[in-house]
Amino acid sequence: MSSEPLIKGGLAGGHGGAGGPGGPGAPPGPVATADSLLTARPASLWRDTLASILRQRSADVGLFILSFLVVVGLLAGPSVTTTSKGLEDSWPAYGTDPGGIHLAPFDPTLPLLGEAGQEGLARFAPPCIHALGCPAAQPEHIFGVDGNFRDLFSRVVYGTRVSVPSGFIAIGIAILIGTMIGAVAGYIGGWLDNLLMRIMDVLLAFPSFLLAIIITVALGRTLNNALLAVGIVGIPVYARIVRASVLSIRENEFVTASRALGESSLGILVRRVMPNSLTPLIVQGTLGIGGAVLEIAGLAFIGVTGDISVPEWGSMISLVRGQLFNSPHVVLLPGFAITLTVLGFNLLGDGLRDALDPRLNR
Amino acid sequence: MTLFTARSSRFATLVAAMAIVVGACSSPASNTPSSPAESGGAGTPAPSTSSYAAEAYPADADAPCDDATKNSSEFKRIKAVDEFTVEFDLCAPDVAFLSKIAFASNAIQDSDWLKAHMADKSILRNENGTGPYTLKSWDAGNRMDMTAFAGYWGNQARTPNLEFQWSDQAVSRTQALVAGTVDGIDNPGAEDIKTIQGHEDLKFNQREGLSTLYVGMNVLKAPWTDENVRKAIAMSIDRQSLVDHFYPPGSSAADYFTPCAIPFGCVGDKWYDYDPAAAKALLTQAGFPNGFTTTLSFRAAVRGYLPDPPAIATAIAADLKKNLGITATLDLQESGAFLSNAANGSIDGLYLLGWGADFPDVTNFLDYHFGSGSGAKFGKPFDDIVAALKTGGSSASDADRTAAYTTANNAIKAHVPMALVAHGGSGDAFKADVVGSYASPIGSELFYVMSAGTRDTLVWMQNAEPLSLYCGDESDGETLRACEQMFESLYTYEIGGTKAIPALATDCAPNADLTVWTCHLRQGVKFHQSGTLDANDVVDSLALQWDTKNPLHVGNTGDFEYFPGLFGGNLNPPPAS
Repeated sequence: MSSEPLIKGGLAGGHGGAGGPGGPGAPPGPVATADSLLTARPASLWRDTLASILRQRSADVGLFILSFLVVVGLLAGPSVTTTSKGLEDSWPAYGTDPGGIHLAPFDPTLPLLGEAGQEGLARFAPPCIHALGCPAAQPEHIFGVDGNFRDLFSRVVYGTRVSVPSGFIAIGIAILIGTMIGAVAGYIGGWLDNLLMRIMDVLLAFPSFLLAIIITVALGRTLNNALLAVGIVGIPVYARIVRASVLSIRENEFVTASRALGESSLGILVRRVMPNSLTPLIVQGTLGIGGAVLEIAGLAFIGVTGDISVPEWGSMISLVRGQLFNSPHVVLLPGFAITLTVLGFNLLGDGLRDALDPRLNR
Repeated sequence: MTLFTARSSRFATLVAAMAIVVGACSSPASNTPSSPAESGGAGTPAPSTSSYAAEAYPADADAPCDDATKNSSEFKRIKAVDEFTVEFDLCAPDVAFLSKIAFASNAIQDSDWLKAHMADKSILRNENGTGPYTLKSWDAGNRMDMTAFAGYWGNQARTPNLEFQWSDQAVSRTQALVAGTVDGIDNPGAEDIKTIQGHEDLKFNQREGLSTLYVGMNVLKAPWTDENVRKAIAMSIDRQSLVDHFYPPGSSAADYFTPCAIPFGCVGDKWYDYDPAAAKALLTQAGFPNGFTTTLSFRAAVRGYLPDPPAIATAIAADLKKNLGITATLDLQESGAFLSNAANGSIDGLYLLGWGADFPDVTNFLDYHFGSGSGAKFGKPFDDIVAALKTGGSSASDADRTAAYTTANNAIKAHVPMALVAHGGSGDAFKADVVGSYASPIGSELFYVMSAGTRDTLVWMQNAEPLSLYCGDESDGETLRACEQMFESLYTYEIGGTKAIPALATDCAPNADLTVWTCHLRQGVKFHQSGTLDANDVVDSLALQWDTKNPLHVGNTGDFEYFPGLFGGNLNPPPAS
């Protein structure tokens, strides 16, 4: 019984990282005493990876920002979603407590003009925080209100629910399809590889944002189609990354061994090759989410994502872009939210890259 | 110069041969008008030209006045009596004929130019007008440059160059004016007007609220087929609140489709009051107690009637949700596509559109939207409204017109083909050193009368880029304004006013029953690129709009919205859908 952890620990260290080539490296430590080995926790791929990530300061900051945004999104308040039937808003009537935790003080789609307690509210009213000296007679709105008398803080908070998942979904689409194409092209090779990669080259030849606009407009101007479009234009990047990994991994001895043991091509691809190709995919994907968030905000800004009532940051900026000098808060605050989100994903992506790429191990 | 058939060519040859004979005899009789009105007109002498072949349209017979499937318009025939005299024969009297003929869509173009540039649509990007400015260059998406036309028949432009720029953001326009990069702007935002008025180097010119915003619906498409649904929409929009919070000074909630400053506009019953409870009851009666889902389509273009499109659309959608439970998804469309979709009735949901006066006659508002030539804007014209408008438009008696427009306004209220919102006041603003600046009540500022201080270019920034340079087939105000600098009609509107005054015609006079209008043309008027104005140019310019089967009835989209809107219909009208 006592030899098992020793063997596991030894293997993990000996590989330079559990999970095979390209995996996270936990450098072998100094010669361990028998006692320390006996008391050491068994090595684990995911724990080692997490520890490695947490050692990166940029990843820590990125994780903190994203965790904050996820919490904000989750606790924003009652559901406000876009369906094929239009905007479905679960907020109760004005003045009724929606119940539960809700960071947004108001329904983000509700113009507050004429509502009780909102007397004297002006279009584009600047932030008013009573604790900071804003007159008590003036309705409190910590981010001010927009051009339709809607609470800007509520809209920015709800924007988190749209923008953060949007990036994940778009890049998820790109990774899913890109991985399949790259894996098939790299593992099978030959004319199929040539064909698939030339198609990827064609996609890459288009300016990605322009292509996303074309696809969105062609499919119909909705947020879902914008996500799909951003996902489609991202496919070639992931296809190429996976193909390169597969080309390198399929020649390894453990793959040859699997083949010799009679494992099917699909089994080898799914169980042996793909798990060892994940690292670059995760790093690129995390960095790509920030870009996707920005692209989706850009598409919303130019008005191709459909209903402008939806609290989406790019759309919010677009509707009031002319107010940059008169009422800068309505432009800058959603802009800051976009910046924070993209920064969070980029910092996390940088940290992941530093943690997972053995060439960057220090 | 002829555009027409072999038959008309033979007719033209015959007329030319007669002109030669008459000319040889040196008889002035050939140019003598035949009707008392014509002879009484202050006509320009019309010397006979031996090579001139006067045309008529239709070439050999009047268009039928009693068969709307063949001719739904008020025009019976357009005739070039001689080189400088044109006669318009109408099926019915038209008291607003001069105001209509003065409109920018009826600008006169050279026949040869039309023939050479209409079929391939190159006419949309090139011009050959007679106006004080001629096109120098059009950098699509950025600017349009014009330069003074040295051969202009009237007073030379006071500023040698004119540049059009555009921005759909009111704040951007104001900033450009304050920064001094432009000399004048259209439609400063409500928040910016005070800034301009408080700036000593700038001046603001108020434009009367001669425009109307409405929420349109196609009455042939469910759920708008139900009159109760339409009434509920009309009663659920808080018009006064919209005006108070989104419109500049000079605006008002609309009680009639036509602004009250226009004679006969505000007769009959006032529009529905804002009454959410009654609206909800009507919607329940129509079978929608919990509302329904639809779309509210609009375009981003700022207009006097729509100073902040997204904000006003959002506010109207909020009213519908709050008062009726109707979820209206906001559908922002590209401007040109939106106008075309609205005109041909292809929008399934609600749409937000408006109208600014082209000339101060009630026909301009009501006939265009509800008359026999109004097309599918609201699905179909209503017979009782059409009949009342026909009576009102053909009567010269104030009492008869009042009665007719009372009937028409009441019928519009009863049928509710759209929901009224507001009459938007607006204005323009200029640098204080721009001499002669003004705001036209109908939004048709002519810049050749303005002097940009000591600068040789007057830079004007409006809300949107012109769509084309052929305004016979455009209805967009920004496009029409650009055309007005380069093209002219037989009449024009007085500077800063609305009265129709002679332009390419020296006069147009009617006969006793207002069914024949004879216009004498100004002689020696040159087109910018080539050609000299003659009566055939007038015939051809208007005939191609009138007749849908004319080979040159091409235009931009092919809709030619204005002609049927102004004159009741078309020759060979498209079959009713």
